[in-house]
Amino acid sequence: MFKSAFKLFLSDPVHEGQATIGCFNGSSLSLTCVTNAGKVFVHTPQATNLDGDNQVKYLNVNKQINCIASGTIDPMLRRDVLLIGTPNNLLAYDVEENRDLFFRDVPDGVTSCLVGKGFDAKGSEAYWTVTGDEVTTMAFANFTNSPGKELLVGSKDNEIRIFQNEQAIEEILEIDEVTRLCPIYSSKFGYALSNGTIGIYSGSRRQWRVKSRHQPTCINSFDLTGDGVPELLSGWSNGKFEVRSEKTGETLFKESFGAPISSVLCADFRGNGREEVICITEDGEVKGYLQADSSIGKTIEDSKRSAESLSQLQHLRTELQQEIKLYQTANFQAEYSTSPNQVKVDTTIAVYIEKLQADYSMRVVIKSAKTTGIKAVVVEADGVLDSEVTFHPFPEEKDTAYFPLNLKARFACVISLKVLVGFPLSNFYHAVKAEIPLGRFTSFVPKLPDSSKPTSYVKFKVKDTIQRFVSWLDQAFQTKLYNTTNYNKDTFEMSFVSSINKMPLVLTFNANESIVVISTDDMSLAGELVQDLAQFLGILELQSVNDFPREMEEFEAVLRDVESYNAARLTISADVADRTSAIKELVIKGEEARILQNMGSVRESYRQLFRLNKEMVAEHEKKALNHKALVESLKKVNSMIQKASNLRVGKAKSALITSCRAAIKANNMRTLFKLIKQGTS
Amino acid sequence: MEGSNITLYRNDVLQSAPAYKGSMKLLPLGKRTRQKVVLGDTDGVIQVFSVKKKETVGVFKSLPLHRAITRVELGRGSGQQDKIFYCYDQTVVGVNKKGKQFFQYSSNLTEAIKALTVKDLTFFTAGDYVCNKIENNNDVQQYVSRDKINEMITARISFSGVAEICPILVCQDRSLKVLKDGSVYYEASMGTVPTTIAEVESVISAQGGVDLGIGRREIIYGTERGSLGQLFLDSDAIRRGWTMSVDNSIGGVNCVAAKYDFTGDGIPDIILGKDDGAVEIFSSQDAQAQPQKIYSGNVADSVSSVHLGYVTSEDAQDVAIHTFSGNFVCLSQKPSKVRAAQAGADEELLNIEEDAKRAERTKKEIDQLRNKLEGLKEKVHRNQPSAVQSSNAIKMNVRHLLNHDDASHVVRVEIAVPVRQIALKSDLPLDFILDNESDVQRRISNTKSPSERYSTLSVHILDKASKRADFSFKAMEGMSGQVQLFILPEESFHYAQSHTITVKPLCLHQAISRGEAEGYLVRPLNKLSITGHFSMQEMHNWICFCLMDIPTRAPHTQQETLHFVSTFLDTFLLVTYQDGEGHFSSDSISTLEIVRDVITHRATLQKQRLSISFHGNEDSVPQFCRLIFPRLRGLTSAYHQSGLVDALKEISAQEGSLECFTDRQKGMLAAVRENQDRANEETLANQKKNLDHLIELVKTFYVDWHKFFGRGLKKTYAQDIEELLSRLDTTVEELIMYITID
Repeated sequence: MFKSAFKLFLSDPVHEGQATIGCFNGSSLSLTCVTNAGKVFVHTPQATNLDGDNQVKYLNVNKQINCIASGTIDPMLRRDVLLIGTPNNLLAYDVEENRDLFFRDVPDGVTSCLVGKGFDAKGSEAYWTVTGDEVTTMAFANFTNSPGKELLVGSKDNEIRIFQNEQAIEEILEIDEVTRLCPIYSSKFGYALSNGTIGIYSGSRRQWRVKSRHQPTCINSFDLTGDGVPELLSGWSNGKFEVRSEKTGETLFKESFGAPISSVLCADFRGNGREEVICITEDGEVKGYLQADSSIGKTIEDSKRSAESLSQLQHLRTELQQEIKLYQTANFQAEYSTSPNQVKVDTTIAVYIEKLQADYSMRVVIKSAKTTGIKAVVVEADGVLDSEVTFHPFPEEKDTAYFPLNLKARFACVISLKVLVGFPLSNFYHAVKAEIPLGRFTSFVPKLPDSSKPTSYVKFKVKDTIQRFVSWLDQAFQTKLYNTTNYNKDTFEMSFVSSINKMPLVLTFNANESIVVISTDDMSLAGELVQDLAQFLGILELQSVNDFPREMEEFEAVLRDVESYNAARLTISADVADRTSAIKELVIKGEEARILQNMGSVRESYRQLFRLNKEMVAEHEKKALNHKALVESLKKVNSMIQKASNLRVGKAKSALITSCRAAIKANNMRTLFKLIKQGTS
Repeated sequence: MEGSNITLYRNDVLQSAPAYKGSMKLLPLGKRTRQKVVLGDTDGVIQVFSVKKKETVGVFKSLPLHRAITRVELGRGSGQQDKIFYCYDQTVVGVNKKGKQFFQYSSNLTEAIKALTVKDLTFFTAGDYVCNKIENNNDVQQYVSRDKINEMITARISFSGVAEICPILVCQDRSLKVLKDGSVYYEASMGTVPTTIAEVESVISAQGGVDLGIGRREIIYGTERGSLGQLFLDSDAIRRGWTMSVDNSIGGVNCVAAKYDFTGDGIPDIILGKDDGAVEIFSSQDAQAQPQKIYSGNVADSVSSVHLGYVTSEDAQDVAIHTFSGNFVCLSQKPSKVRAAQAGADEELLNIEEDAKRAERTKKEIDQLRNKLEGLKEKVHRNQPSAVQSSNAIKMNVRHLLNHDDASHVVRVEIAVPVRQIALKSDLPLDFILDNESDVQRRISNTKSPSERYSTLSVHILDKASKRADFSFKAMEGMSGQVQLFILPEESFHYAQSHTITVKPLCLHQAISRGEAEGYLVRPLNKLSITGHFSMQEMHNWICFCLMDIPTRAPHTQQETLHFVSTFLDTFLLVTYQDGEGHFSSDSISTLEIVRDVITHRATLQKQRLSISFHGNEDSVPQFCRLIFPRLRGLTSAYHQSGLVDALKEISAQEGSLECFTDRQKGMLAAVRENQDRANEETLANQKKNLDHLIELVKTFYVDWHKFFGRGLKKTYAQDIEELLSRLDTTVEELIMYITID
């Protein structure tokens, strides 16, 4: 179906996802890949170097490289610039002139880079925002179908956030770490998760997904079939390259390579005016594919292929015929069962979640008709349970069965059950399907009201009725309070305990003062509740005050840590500089002594050198540890800002992020604290 | 489909209900130039059709009997060759090629007839255990086999000049038996379980210089591990010809045909079908040389019958295949291409157009079928609450066997409908092996058992619905338990089925024949003797609880001797037993410990009293250590090496050359480069697991050795052994010293 265009072998291994194609000299394209030991190589097939055969240039970065990208940063330059992200800085490099455009310290480490905006041509910061966790991937897509593109950000906390300028306009919670994102067309984008899932979202709605045992290493989109609609291309850790239809997820083409696929890129690599798909494997094999062409003449090859496809069709037909037959017999038996040895089985079942107030846990209860026993149940629930599919056999074969439901995350999804029911001791069962919808806050078990309340809270004004508030509760927590509540009181209070971590949650609504108080020790939970309530009640702007003493205490400690780590970094750097000069001195000294044949002095110098070297190694270890701790703390700072912003809605939310960033830059901790608590300084 | 030398084109002709082994035959060439096909299926439908222009033309099709047709045969007598005989349950029916019934015979057996041959008025039938000869509707001879009969054929064997038709059986106890007058005339034992046999007909003794006695028959057999072998049957002995080992295919041979000449060189070629869907053709230059594989293809479903004949064209023979799921497929040599070469490009184009039209038509049909299917699914869905317990469940085959190479259990499931999930529960801890090669990828999702009741609870999810699924898993010896599979077909079927496999405590032991055991008997062996007031059958049952590959019934002899070899460590177990006595000898004391455990446990359940005596052989310790030590050493050093490799690679990239390394390091790098990096990482975890397993075995051995002698154990033995074995410079003598000296 697809024509293989070319094939070449690079002599070096290529790291996963770390390859890009750019026009670095202004005329021809180069393939740039990250290889072992902090090196980058630039492969330019059309290079017209004076050296002649030297198509490959090596760049020594001498650092761990996290990501590379290429693009036009400076429109005046008229050629692409290579961006290299390392654990603590970002480097913009002009390949043609062999000079650094800018070199910026990014203390958190660069994990993903993309050319667009963020840093401008001079390397000053043009864009800054936060997400909940380490960013793993980014992409630009036309999410809202309005002019101008939005930034999609995938992060380690399983979320895809869509940013329009600085405001997060949409958050999509996935079930695992988002590893890759790519735009398809209009509002469609493809995604890949670390648990082996790839799929396509159209806006915030998922169109399809497929899951495999292997990990997707890269995704991209390209119109390989030539039908005007791009397909989703994916490369896998087992060396599989797949082309899937954007509409249905059907596999259109696949090929296996001997090594994991590192990257799938699209470019006119050979410079002949036709864009190709380029597949790069980790051991350096590069293969290009051309778009399928409909105008190729009918050849013997084709006739062979048509014969093949004909036989495939015939095969499909026979399979369908067989399946129809099976269904017909099943139907026949169901409708005209007259033979006396066939007994009708009542396979109606009831499935529901039971919340146990004794230990605040939940279990699923399955009830079948009296005549049949429940043998086993296969539970499919992606993301909320420990494994994708769980299996619970019930050897007692009774008409009621339970299994504990241990959710591990607050995540809205549908649990689908396949319940096997049958007569006792038989080996044949009916597989009855049942579904349980789970809300995001289903995991909360109602608690009998008592006076104890978590000390932390978030408070905000909502002008609405108790009835509306209760109906939100019913919808979010799947409770049935609407008909039982006494609406004559001014205040309404409801307590829950989370079945995940057994933490209490109290919600209070005072209708007179129209104040909602959410009392919980979990700041991110409070944020989620605020967002959910705002969405339900249609609130567009919401400012709130909060007090999370424990979290703030921890945050203060984190900020202190950051300061001390920064200080330690400076002293260590100074020490390193001192020692380096001492080492240089010793080397020269030793060399001198050697020339003068003063063996005693040579020995002495080298002894000292050895000692210093050991010290340097120890120092380096300290530095590395310090750096790791620093990054860890900075991550916490960022996630705190994110959590705080989530307690607000609308402009207040995005304004908070900007002012927090400003406060951090100004090193004004008091303002930062006030910002987080009050929302304004 | 690409073969080694030949290309064959797949042609899906017809779909029937699922079909058992040997329920497809090709009628001999009649007046027309193409052969008609006879199919029998598990619905009890027998049909005859021919193929014209890639469409089927039915001759007749019977009404469903709702009994599975277990075998279809053609008569062998003169004038009988176009008569069709088929059997279901205990009944044999004969019909002519127009479908008119002319014969019916019902035997009074309790078991269903599984194999059949007919010549004139003489029938041979075989069920699971019984082989009968029927003459003129009278049961004249009967033979009861000890173990399950896998296949029966008949051949003319001459006994001192008088040729007689004799049944030849292959049985689950890895034997081939030739029967004469209702008793075993002679038998041969084989290395693996033979699943099918075929006679090479038309062995022409005119082969220059080849010494083929008159009446000598050539037999080809296929085994459950996928190997092939050749045997010659004489009037007084069985002589072995070539055997062909398995080449990385895991499928067992389901059916073999050896009477057809595919290559056209006058010598019959061998065509075989496997249960993993493989179809292979072997050809040889003369009857005694080992044949070469000339074609291999795969039809994706388990193959239940394979033949060669003029089915789709009169110019060249097709390989006709009937699969377990009921698919009738022809692999044809594509005569249209030959014609096109002669007629030129016009014809070629015409062909393409014709094909395109046909494809169009088929597509339309498929769309219609899809719609119909959707409707039916809907209907079934509506009927779901009052669905009926299906009495004829969906046909399923589950096979459980041992893989010698890595001492793992292989379970093969084949079912008539596509399956997406297989749930599995077991009271044994199982270690699943995933293979990357298979075309259907699997994922495993494990469940923690809340009450610790099951050690393994898992669901295998297939990437795409498939009618076949292979599992392999490893289980430790010493524990017995059951593995229950729940097969869950696609949702719309609202149906599931389970199957239970028993894993015996000595599950890695495999029976071998007396001849093969010769070499093991000279080893130093420890002996465990059990005496008491029990019968031979009781002892036999107890042994059945320990070991696989044993028939359920005790032999009729006074005394029985069995030989077993561990596929994992190559240790030996000799069992002799009779009324009131049982003797077990092995060079591995751990094996004897397991035997003692199981038998005393079983005897206690039956309130039997046993007296047990043990005779230890000091020489067996070095023997055991020498068996396990090379493996330990290999794994330890490999494990140590693989830790270094990553660092070495980094250095080599930095330096740009390998000059700085020693030769050993260079060798290591080269070795890694050969087998991918990924493989290296994967094996690292595996190696650790294997290593731990071996160390565990040594510890158990140490404990068992001292337990049998009633000696005390060193308190620190576990750490000591681990320490001893993790060192790279430990010698086997040191290990032996540690175990024997206390």
